[in-house]
Amino acid sequence: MMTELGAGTRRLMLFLAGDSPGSRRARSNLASVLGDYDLDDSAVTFVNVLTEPVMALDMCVFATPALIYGADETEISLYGDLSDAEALRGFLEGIFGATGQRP
Amino acid sequence: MVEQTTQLTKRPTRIAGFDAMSQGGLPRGGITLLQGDAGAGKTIFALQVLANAAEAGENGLFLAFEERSADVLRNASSLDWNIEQYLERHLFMIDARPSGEVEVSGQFDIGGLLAVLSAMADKVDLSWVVLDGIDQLVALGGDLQRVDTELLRLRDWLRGRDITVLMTAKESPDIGYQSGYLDRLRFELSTIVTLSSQHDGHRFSRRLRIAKYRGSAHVADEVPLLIGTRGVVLPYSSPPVDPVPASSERVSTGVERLDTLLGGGYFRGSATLITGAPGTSKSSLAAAFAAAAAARGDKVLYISFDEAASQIQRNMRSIGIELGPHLESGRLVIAERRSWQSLAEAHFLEIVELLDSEQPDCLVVDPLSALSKAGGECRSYNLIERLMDKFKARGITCVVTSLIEPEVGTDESSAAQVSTIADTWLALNYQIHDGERNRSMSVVKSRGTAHSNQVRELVLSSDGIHLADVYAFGSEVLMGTARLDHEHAVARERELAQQRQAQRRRQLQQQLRDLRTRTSELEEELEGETALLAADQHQDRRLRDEIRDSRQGTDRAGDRREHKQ
Repeated sequence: MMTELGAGTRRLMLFLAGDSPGSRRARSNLASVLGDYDLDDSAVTFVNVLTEPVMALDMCVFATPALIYGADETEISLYGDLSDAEALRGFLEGIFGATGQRP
Repeated sequence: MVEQTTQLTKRPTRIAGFDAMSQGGLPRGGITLLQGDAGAGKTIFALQVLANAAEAGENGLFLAFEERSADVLRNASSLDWNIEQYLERHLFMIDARPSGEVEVSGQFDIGGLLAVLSAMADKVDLSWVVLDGIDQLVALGGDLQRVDTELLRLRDWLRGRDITVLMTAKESPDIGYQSGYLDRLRFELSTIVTLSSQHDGHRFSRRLRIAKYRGSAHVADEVPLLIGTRGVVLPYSSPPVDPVPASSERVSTGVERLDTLLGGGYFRGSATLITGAPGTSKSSLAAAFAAAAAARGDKVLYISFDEAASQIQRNMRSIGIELGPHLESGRLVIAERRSWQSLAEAHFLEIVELLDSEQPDCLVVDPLSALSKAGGECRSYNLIERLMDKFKARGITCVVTSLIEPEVGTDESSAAQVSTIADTWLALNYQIHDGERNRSMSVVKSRGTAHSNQVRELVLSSDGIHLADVYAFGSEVLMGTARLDHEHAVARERELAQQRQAQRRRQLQQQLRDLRTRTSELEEELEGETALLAADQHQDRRLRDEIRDSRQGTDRAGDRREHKQ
């Protein structure tokens, strides 16, 4: 399953390894900034690699947590528990713009 | 880290030489680090392990963190493995390289990797997992402390699974982040194999070393590694083979008087070293041996460095050695090689392959010393001794030549290092006397054979190779014109002696004839005398008879007169 961010094939996915501490931190850190971009959890597809390893295979995600954004032929990834807020915001602004406008 | 306490068992890699070095392969249920610089052969090595396993019916998973799996397969397509046939049956290739731009925010772990591994392990009975280019995952960032943790997670995942993990990692001084990371891996892992590459002059060569194999005996030496159409090969790593039992059979050297000198020729299965400066007839002696062997029906392999078969044929024909018929019959095969074309270890490997394909009874390598001019390791790995050991182990009667060039620093003492494994050592040389240069030969050693230690002149002519008679003159042996002069003088002396003998014979025969005539005359005289004597005796007897008769007549007349009175 993936959430379409508007038209086309743009999508934001957070790959997690079950309910591990790192996964919980990533989910929490992402949720804390989504609002700044006028987004909520529904804009993100959460993939548990423990139960959906094929999805991890398809997206070549072997390190978790991993926030993946795909649009057309472009794909960018942010690995880690998203605890570096500056890096996370930089990643999201690269997608949604500094104003946080939904694409 | 807590080490496994279970007994170490191994899974063969089936890479020629490596299993011998590692005494069985890589640990089952364990992780091996295959580290090395770019181009050292890590990926090929790992993929070959999986290809070999697939051929044996084992399943392997290859996760490509550095290259696309399609590229890995394309690179392997030039090899003889036919790896495509195993895909999705025994060999599973997965692209593990993150696509697109990658950034990092905080800590991450290998949870995704373990999830994929679990899924694959549930799907197929995996024996091998290759994590190719694990450094790419580390290159994403993260702190070094987590390497320990992630390794522990991987070990936990492996526990209870009969899977061997081979993890390749690039070692490069240009990438700073890796040094600490690799140090951690090296410290934590029990089995480490290091590949390296270097330039020997203009040649690129590779090496392999088992840097660590905790709990297992192994060969720790660094050995040359070759990548050819068969993939990775460790040419010097095959275990030693017991030589065939020593034979007492003699085989001809191709030179009659040399056969006599050596008690009938070389021992079958022995190794002969012929050393000499350029032009001392090393090749001629070797070719004479080859021709004699082929003529008696032996299969002969003649490995020629830097001289074409046609040149050898032409040159040998000029001294009465015809190789053509033997080449046509197939009893003689000349393999041309170029010393500069390959690394020494590649020559070694290809010569061994030639032995496998040709299965010769006899072998000539001319000159074996050419290997020392090839790039790569020769001296430090005792390549020549290794080769000769191979020949002897197969019972091949071999003659190898070695060029001695005093001008470039090779002399008999350097050949002597090689000669330790040779059973017979013939030293060829030039003797310069009275402005003449003549070829000479001496038997430096010949194990199991009583032989002369005199230097002899080696004479090449259109009817073959000959060893001249030895004419000692003071401390020298006469050669060339001096020998010919001496031979002429000896011949003249012999001729004069023969003339004197003939004259004496004639004199004696004349005396004998005279004596026979005299004997005959005396016999006739004796016969005459005997006849006269017999006649005289006869006359005597007749006279005595007459006297006796006359006396008897007188007596009877007297008796009658007395009776009348």
